[in-house]
Amino acid sequence: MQLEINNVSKSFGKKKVLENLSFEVNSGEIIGLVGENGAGKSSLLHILATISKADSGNIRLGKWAYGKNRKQLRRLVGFVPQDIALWEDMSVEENMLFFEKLSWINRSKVELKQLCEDMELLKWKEPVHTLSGGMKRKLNMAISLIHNPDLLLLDEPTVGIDLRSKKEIAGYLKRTAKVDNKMIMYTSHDMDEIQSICDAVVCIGNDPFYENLLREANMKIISI
Amino acid sequence: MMDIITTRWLHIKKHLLSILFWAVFPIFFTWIIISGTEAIQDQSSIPVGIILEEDSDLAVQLKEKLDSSDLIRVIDMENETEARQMVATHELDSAFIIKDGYSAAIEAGQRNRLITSYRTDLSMGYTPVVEMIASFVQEDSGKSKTAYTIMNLGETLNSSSIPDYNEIISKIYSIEESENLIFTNFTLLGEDADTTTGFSLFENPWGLWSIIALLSTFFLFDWLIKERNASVRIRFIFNRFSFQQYLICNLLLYSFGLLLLDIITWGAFHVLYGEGFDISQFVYILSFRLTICILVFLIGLAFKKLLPYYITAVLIILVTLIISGIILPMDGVYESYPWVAALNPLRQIVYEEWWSGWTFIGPICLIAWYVKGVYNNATGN
Repeated sequence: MQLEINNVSKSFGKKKVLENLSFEVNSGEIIGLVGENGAGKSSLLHILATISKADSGNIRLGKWAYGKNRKQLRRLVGFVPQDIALWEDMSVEENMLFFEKLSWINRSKVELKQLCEDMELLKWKEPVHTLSGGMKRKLNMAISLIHNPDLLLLDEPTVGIDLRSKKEIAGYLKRTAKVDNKMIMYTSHDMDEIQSICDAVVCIGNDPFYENLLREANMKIISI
Repeated sequence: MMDIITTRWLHIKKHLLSILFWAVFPIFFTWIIISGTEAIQDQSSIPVGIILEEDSDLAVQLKEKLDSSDLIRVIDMENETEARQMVATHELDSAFIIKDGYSAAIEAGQRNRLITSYRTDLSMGYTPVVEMIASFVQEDSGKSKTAYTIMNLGETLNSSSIPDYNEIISKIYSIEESENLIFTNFTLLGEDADTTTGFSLFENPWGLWSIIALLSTFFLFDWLIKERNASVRIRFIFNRFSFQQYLICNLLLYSFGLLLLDIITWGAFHVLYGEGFDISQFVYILSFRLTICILVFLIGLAFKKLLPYYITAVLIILVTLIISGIILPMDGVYESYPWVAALNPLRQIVYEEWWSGWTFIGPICLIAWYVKGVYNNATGN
């Protein structure tokens, strides 16, 4: 499967956040989106997640073109929001079960538990409000993977968590991209993390600071 | 729908006690208030013992008339000695023995020494009860005298069809009923008969229950505010159910669950208060339940925080009480502004109507909200 983005632009009023952005992503690739705050990273993720629309340009995921095939595209996309989107009074198990029931595909409790364990999220029966920030981030991601999406979009998935959790999330993302052949796009301000996980980077906002930083790190830049 | 039931159960089990409380609150509150009111009425009425030495119609009628008075509580006694003892120990305020031959004496127009009574110096109810009995006896003997006068007149005039005693007495009762000024409405020629639109909260259990059911529905639907403003809402974009569908399914689920509870309440009212058990009553309950669930749902959609929602719920209950004419008489307002009565969300239950304006307005608004959601979802707004 391939994600093709051609000349995508997006403005909010007079402010242009994305201008003629074009790149391609293939299955098994992890693409990092970098840029300063407000550059348009989250806007691009929202467009790819079909939460908002591009003003112009074409996007295609596999055989489905964006714009008309929202329902089909949403089955292929998993979106991990920047804010923790969990039922705080429920346990890890109940959160997984809740979203599995509403999901397009049925997963057994064993499968759901395995999904959490793959991310080193082992507190299956614990209420979410007692979990650490890192555990919550992992559950936030696990829920987005219940329907087994081909394209996983993560909006700053490691913000505000400890180093161990960061490493565990990074490890999981690498494994799922290579083993399960998923496309992963995610935003982060942590250049070390980008460097260690991503196969290529999209630098959003034409910012020379980020471009130099990426070149110095010998990162593959697929779009500026 | 099974999936929605499972997700709802995951929420409900976290707040099981409060949900159970609000679910059973209407029936229990109604039962407590009605039982309490009856107990207070019983305690505040004067206990009077009645012994019937004969079981004639007139004697039984006299006892029933006394029993229907709010002032006194009639206690059936069998034994005169026991009654005297209870009066002496002030367990009874006073006791009255309707003597054998009471009916014959009344029919003979005799009004003396028909009843024997017992009292003490502390019998506060004795005098009013005696006055009441005297008035009833006077009424019965008057009817009896009238009957004999008519029968004698028929015999004197050699009438071919002289009605018997019982026919005349029953005719007197029917005339009394049809010409009773207290319950007669007068209208000017060409005007419609006056219809009272207010209702008594304690006339039957449904009035009180419907108000409390409306309040409990508001509190049971607070999940709507909690879940609409939860951060997880974004996840519904990537689910089989849109957020609108999820909310509508839960509305149906709650409406069905509450309707089942209403049917149990109906059964309890049938057993406790002898309320009717027919298909019309079921339609009133069904229409009422669906209407208030949809209205509460729509009101809930307008709120982002729980406190303003709860305050609004209480205000709506107060307004409903006012426009129901419970706190203040509203007949004048209804005459000038008939639409005020139509605003009452309890109409189906209280006035036994199959539908009200809200029965149609609610679903129309609900459909409009749903269509708007589908449009926004499709256009990415």
